[in-house]
Amino acid sequence: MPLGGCSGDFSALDPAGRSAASIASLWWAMLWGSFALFALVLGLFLAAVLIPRFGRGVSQKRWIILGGLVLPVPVLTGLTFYAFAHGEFLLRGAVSETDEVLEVRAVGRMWQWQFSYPSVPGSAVHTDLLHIPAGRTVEIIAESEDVIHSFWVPRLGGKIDAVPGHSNRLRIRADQPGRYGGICSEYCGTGHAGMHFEVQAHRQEDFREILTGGLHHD
Amino acid sequence: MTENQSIHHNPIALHKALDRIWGTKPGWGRLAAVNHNVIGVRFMLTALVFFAIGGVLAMLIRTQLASSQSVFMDAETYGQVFTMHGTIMMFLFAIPFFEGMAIYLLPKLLGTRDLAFPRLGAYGYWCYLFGGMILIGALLAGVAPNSGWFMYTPLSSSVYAPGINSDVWLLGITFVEISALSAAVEIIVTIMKIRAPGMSLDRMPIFAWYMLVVATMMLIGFPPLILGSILLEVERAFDLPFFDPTRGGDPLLWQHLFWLFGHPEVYIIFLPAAGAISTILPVLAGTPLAGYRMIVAAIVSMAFLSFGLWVHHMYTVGIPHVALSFFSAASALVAIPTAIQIFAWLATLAHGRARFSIPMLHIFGFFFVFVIGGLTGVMLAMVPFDWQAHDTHFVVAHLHYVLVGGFIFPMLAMAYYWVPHLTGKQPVQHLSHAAFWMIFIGFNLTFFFMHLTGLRGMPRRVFEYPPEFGWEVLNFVSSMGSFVMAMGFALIALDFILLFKFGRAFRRNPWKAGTLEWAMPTPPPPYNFASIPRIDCRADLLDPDVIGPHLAAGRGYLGIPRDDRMEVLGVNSVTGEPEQLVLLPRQTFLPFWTAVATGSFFLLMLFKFYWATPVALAAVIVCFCLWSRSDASSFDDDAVPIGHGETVPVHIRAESPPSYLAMVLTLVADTTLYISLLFGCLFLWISAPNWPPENLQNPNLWLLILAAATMSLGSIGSRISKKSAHMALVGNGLAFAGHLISTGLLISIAFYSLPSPSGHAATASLFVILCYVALHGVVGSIFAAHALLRALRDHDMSVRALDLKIGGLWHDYSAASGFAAVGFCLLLDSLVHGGGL
Amino acid sequence: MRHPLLLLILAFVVWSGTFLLVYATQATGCSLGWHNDEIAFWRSPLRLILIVLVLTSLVAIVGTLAWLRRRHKPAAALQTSSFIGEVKTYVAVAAIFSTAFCFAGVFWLTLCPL
Ligand code: HEM
Ligand SMILES: [Cu+2]
Ligand SMILES: [Cu+2]
Repeated sequence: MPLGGCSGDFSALDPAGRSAASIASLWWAMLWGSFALFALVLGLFLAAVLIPRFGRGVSQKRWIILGGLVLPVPVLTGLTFYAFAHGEFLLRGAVSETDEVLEVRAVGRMWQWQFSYPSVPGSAVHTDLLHIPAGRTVEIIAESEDVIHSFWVPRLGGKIDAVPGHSNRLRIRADQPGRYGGICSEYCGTGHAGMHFEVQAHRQEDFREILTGGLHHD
Repeated sequence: MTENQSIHHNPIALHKALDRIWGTKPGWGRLAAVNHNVIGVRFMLTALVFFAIGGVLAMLIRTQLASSQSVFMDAETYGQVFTMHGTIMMFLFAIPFFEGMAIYLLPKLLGTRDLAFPRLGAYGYWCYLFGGMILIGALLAGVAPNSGWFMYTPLSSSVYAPGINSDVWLLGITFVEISALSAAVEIIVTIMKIRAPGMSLDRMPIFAWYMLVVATMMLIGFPPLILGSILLEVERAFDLPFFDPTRGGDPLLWQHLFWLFGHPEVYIIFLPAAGAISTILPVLAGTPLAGYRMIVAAIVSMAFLSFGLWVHHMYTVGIPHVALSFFSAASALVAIPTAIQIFAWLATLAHGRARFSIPMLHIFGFFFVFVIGGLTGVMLAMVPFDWQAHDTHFVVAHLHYVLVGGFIFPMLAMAYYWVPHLTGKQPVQHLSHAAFWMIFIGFNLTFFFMHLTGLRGMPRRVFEYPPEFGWEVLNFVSSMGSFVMAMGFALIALDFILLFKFGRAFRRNPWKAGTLEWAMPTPPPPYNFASIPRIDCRADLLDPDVIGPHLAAGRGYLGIPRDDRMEVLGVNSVTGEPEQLVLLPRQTFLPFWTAVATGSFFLLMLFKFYWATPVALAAVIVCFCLWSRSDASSFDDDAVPIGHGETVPVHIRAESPPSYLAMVLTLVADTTLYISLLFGCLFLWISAPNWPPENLQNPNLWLLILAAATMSLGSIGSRISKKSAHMALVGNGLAFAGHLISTGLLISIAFYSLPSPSGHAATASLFVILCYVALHGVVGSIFAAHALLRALRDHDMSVRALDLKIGGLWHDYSAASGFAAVGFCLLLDSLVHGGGL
Repeated sequence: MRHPLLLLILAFVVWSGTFLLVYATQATGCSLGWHNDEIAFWRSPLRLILIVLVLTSLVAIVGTLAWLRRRHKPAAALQTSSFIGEVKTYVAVAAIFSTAFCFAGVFWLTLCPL
């Protein structure tokens, strides 16, 4: 991929998990499609303005039907229905067979995130640091204590808003152990720009020990 | 009679006579201006001043973001700057600018002398100006709104934004929106009723179709925003918890109300610009517009679809996938009517011979930029992609491609096309090319790479970013591009200044257009046409060079001014055949004073002098009552000659006068607001946490039913009063009493029998609904009192018939709203107590 | 209410009504638990209700178009009424397509929050 390779910690174009990867491929497909459509429309515009008699052979009604219906209707139908299926796939956590998901509560407040693991007894609460197992689907339960925030780890998947009074769910997944940047993406006041956090994906074996404080991490 | 004779067919004498009647007086008289030429230009110039302010703020944003960890602005200042940039551009620049353009152009394209309600236009202008000044004042004082242009709660609520900042937005913008609603009513009525004879629906210039659709969208789109603003302001001021999740409110209610307005808004901004392109492009291509009928169908479909996609701004708030799919599909669909228009324009170009000119250059800019914006729009409509791109700089890039492509470039094309009309001078065109290319290149440099910035993870609305995030180079490029663009705009300004100073005069119709605005002298006289044409083919295929002199000589309709009256023709909305003679009100200071009174209400709210607000409201009502004194009744005949041997009645005696339609439209907007309110309250029951409330005592139901029943006395009374002159006293008296009693009952229920509305959103909802109906009772009693007074003074029955008809509409609506309130109470009760059906 | 412009938009008014109804039913159904996770997805009562709603309104809009075409009588000048007739048909066809397209998701997409 020509543009994506060199980007940093936050790039959605440099995916590190299946959710993010499938969205990135959707983006590249749409990008190339858009290039083609843009070149077509602009080409027709320039030709119609600059080349005398260009396009006169086609009746006006035909122009409109071809360009306004025949061209966009199939493209949009295909894209929309693909996106529906894709959305379902992402909701399942970007896996075809739902394996057991790990639930993480992510509570946003001005201006930090707190992560806890309701299903892991004895696990500690971390601030601005989220430990997850690599290769396993994680379900974020996003909640807020004050205003609206939004949980986003660009390299692992989409984002979900933490709306006070609601708890919203989002499935993400890291394929490999590593560190990934996370960032609040709903304006939440003067501290919004600084509301980053870090995601550390660990090998399955290390994960549980880290949660219960057995293993060191930095 | 002798004076008339001398005017006959003498253009100069005719001009003098008409100019004396229609012209705006100098000096203080300018504040009394009602003429659409004056008001339209004022709207556009004021909007351009706001555009400059918004542009300066944009440069501040770009300066701040040019490098990482810039120390130019702190987070609070940055918050105010980006909020005000967005707010100014959307509410104080884009909408008012095209309102001004429509006010200026529509009567000319429709072949008439002014809009249907000149005073309303003037009132709208003053509301816009004063509301805008409140916002700019706050910016200068450092207390500008700071929660983003969509003002999401709870960030904008009194808990997290205790200062005056959010109130400035809510009150200032609502004040400005009065002008949008009044413009909507005025534009629709004008297009439907005040056209040149013979201009049937299928002969209207395409621009009129665009504006008809846009104005209708405004009529439906703005009420949800106004409702949301009222509810949020009420929450901030009086602690009614509509959006507070701890007391049964829901922040998502605000988002729904805002975007229910906010998305159609984008099309409300784009469609007038598209209408201008559909008008200009065929002229430059030297051939009629292709696919007139398909374009009309496309924009009608687009208007509807655009109301079914607001949730695409809310894909990440936790709405279930199936619901997202409705909005995602509608968002994709809306691209089709757009494609139809684009290809209609291409077809026009292909079948014509394009003349190269400055407007054409800007149309090229429009195609290039807008198509990219449309394509990224389709991408964002796809839920999975939006989950990544939402609220990043990708969206910032997309929205500027759409707005600058869909509004700024068409606006510049229009400017170069119509400024000769406005000034009577043709451009010198030394700077125009350079200015275009600087804007075009600067724009793409700024925003093209910003897509990538967003995909690389930069959220919008951040004032700083650490260098190691890797966003610095892209941002630097964007900032440089924006400075180039700013210089381009400066050049444009200079170009127009040169045009005003050194432009060459021209004879008629420099572009060889086929529309009526060129069939008049330029700059246009206040009355536009010395006499009104008859149209016998589509009104963009005419020959202004022939029609112009003909009309100037007074050979059309109404070619002889009489008794200092401002006369236009009202026509059948379908066939365009003349139906009535509409007498317009003369110049008056009333709109100005009414706007001052309205402004004082908003200022008192802003500075929390709530106790004094009733005085301001009373002042507003008194001012509006003064508006209704009209002098049309002095025409006694049923049939007034209008020229060409035809006669029509004066509008107050006509079958369907403009003011009747205006009332219908006002009630449409009002209904939209009420439905949004009722649905909003039901939405809380579905979505908000902490439901059902612990102790929802319903209001005393029998009392409520009694209130609704007395309210319907208004509509019974108004029916009785139409029977005969004797019954008028009885009927109106009944209506008056019914409204007063019912209002009293409603207020007593709201204030005494409900538990405190600040306890839970359910009670707050009931409270607001009761107040809404009570407000209609108050206004209804004013209508009834007015009719009663006139009946006492014993005016001629046929003159009062119009007042009674209009009042009758109001009475019927208030009665219906009363019964709807009863129904709502029952429903809420069964939902809450019935344990959910 | 027989103004030609109102007839012109009638089909899309039905579309708007459908939109409101389907969205409101979906939200209400989820809040009242009509979707019932336990049974197979296609037997969820909420899904069945939504499907019926969508199909009914599709029939209603097609019916509208048929009705519009049948009652179409040249009222005003020939040109004007041919114009209105043609635009009305385009708009109605667009509304039919929009209904089928917008609500197709009710057949299989996730109905309620997880
Ligand atoms: C003249 C050149 C312009 C430049 C350089 C510019 C720049 C920007 C930038 C950088 C932002 C993002 C601020 C942030 O997220 O931190 C922004 C936001 C925005 N701009 Fe512009 N803009 C320009 C013109 C316009 C125009 C013409 C319009 C509308 C007609 C517009 C409407 C908006 C809106 C609605 C926002 C969102 C504000 C918010 O997030 O609350 N801009 N602009
Ligand atoms: Cu934030
Ligand atoms: Cu939108």
